Amino acid sequence: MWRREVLLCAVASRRRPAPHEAKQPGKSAVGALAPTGRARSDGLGHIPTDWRLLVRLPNPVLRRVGVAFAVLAWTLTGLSPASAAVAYGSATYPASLQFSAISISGRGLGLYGTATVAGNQGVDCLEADVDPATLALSDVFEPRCDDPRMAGYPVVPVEATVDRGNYISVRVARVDHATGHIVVGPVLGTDEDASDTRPQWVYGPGSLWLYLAAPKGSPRAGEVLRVSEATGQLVQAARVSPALFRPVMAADANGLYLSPAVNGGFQTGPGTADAAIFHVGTGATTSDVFYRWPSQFNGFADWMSGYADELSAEVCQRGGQLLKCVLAIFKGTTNRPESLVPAPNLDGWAVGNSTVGFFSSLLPANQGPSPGPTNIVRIDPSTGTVHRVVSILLPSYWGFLEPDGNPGAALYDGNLYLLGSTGKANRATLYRVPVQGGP
Amino acid sequence: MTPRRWRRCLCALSALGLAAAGAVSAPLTSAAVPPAGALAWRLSSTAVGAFNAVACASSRFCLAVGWSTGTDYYVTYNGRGWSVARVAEQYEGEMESVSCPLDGWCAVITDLAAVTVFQGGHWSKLTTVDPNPGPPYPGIAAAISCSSARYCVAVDGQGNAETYDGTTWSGPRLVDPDYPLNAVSCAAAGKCTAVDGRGQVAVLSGASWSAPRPVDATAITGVSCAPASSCTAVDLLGRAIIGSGGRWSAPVAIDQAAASPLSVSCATEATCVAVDADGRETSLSSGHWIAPQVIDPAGGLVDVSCTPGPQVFCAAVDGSGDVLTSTDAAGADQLSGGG
Repeated sequence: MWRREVLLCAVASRRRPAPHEAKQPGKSAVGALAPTGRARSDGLGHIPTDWRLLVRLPNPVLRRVGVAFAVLAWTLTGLSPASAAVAYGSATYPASLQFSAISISGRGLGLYGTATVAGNQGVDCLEADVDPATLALSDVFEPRCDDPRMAGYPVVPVEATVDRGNYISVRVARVDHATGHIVVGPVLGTDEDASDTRPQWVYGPGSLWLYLAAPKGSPRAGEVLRVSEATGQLVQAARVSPALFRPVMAADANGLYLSPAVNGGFQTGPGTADAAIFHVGTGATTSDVFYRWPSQFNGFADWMSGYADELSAEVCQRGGQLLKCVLAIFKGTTNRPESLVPAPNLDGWAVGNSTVGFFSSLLPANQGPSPGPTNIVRIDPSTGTVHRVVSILLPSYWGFLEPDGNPGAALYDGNLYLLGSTGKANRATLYRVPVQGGP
Repeated sequence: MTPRRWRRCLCALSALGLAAAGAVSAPLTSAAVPPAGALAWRLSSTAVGAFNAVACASSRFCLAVGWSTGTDYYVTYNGRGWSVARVAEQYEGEMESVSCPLDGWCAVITDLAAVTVFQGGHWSKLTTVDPNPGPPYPGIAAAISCSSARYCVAVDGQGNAETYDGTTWSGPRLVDPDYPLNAVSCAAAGKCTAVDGRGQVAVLSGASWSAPRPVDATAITGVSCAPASSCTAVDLLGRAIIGSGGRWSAPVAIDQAAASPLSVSCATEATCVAVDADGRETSLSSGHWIAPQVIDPAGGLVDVSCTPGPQVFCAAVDGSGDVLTSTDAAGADQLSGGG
């Protein structure tokens, strides 16, 4: 019932850069392809005149200049020129509605996050339905923060700080189908609460996969817990050794996959020096190495995505100043990639699969900290070629993925939806980008 | 000395006293000419980092609670000005909601559902009224309303309600199994209205709570019930609904431009004031909502409390440590009976 209809995000563990962490300043190479104006809407998402056509230059001379800039952009960034004009729309919501993630459920497109509400109510959780065409909000509610329906899943982890803040216990909430009420189960595990070690989770077909990097009482190995989406019951526990800290995770029908993030890692041991992706198979009690690098691995996964029985991963190897990345696609239970092609280092997130392609973002080369365009790109799964879909003018750089894996990007009904924040008040802004080949 | 002169004198003395105590008080230049029928306001800055709630028993007594660097603080209003900030920390959550049915007597609830009573300038020990008030993160909504020193009701994010009979608190009682109760208002003992995040209301009659009933299509953030039978509630989209005799009006936009959440307080059945996170106030007067006016340029108003009298008196607080009190047209604090 609550199964997600679209392909959700890779779980890159990179945190969203703060403004002071913006990428290096420099010259933008895609100025001619920037939107002619920001799409705007009122507080409730009505966007009657928001659409902007890109690459629509007014006369032949400017058009030629535009083409020249496009070629220059492609030369400097490695992007293929946008193949067609693409329109996008956006809506910016009131500052009090701090949406942080997109949900896709049987109810359709939604947003959720927190509401900073007046007076004596502190901070409450927040959800709203979104009209996929107009981006207007409806049914803006404050559910219980442990209501799994808020994020569009049948079950959701519920965390509690314990032991004077040194640990986080994790339980799972579900909706009891008999009563319709929320039921919170027992504590399934307790993980250390440090800056780079805290519970992480990802959803796979029919399962919620929890990963505890430093479980209480067993700090030398990580622990994977699989919870049935149908019953909310713990159905599998597995030891992950060596433990990975702040891994990138994805799940498909064959299990959970973990790989070091750009800011994560693991302690190597016998047989792990070349390990790039670890695996916990469905029903397994221990982890194994799933994908080995041809040489000693000194890299990270930029993103991973699970869909049905397919795992896609962009894995990057450091080599001095150089970074070599490949897009690997695995199908079924085999650990031999069905496809393995070079790919550019993206922004740490992607949505999609091998059928529709992968969508992500790329800052133009030498993007400065001042407002500028961010390229939304499609990666061809068979060649690794990156095509720009649209350039969106943003107030500053941001990623479209929350650190806990909550998606700030989703494909739905032939559109790519991106959620970010705008301005000093961090008002949530939702973008809608039509994409070819999307579900 | 005429009453007005007397008030001006009091105001001057108040300003001197506050200056000596470290607080700064000044009329709002931006609200110097309020809309017809609207209140005028005076803003004072305090040493509190951010306020969470305020309650006034009369124009002579208010209590506001907030925090600075993780410690709970409070200030009181004595009809002339606000006290210096004092520590109220008792280490069981953050003070979230306050209700003052009498001058000098208030009940405060923390986000961990612990209640303490402020009486005679002293705080009682905390009493935990719900050991499991809600999901542990990102915190818990909790509100309290007292119709007298012998009757209070608290609500929380698990949809539970607890009742105080003057001596003890009842155990948690599940009123709303699916949505957090955001606010509660008790017009009298055994006569309370609670509102939730789904736009529903639950009514306490005697000892029995009704099942939550939808009255709005969005979350309700505040409710205030006058001693007569009517209640006014405000929602997450800047709309108000009025309930009377068990029937609720359709939502009316009162502050739609910002669509920011509101807090509301009704001094009488016909006189209510709502404040929003953009620092604006709007008043219900004679059945009509007056267009919002900015009364706090810093924004972030979080709570308001109004009391009846010859003139309605209100106090509001913001998330920046400012307190605001309504004044008469001459800028003096509104006092009933000369204070």
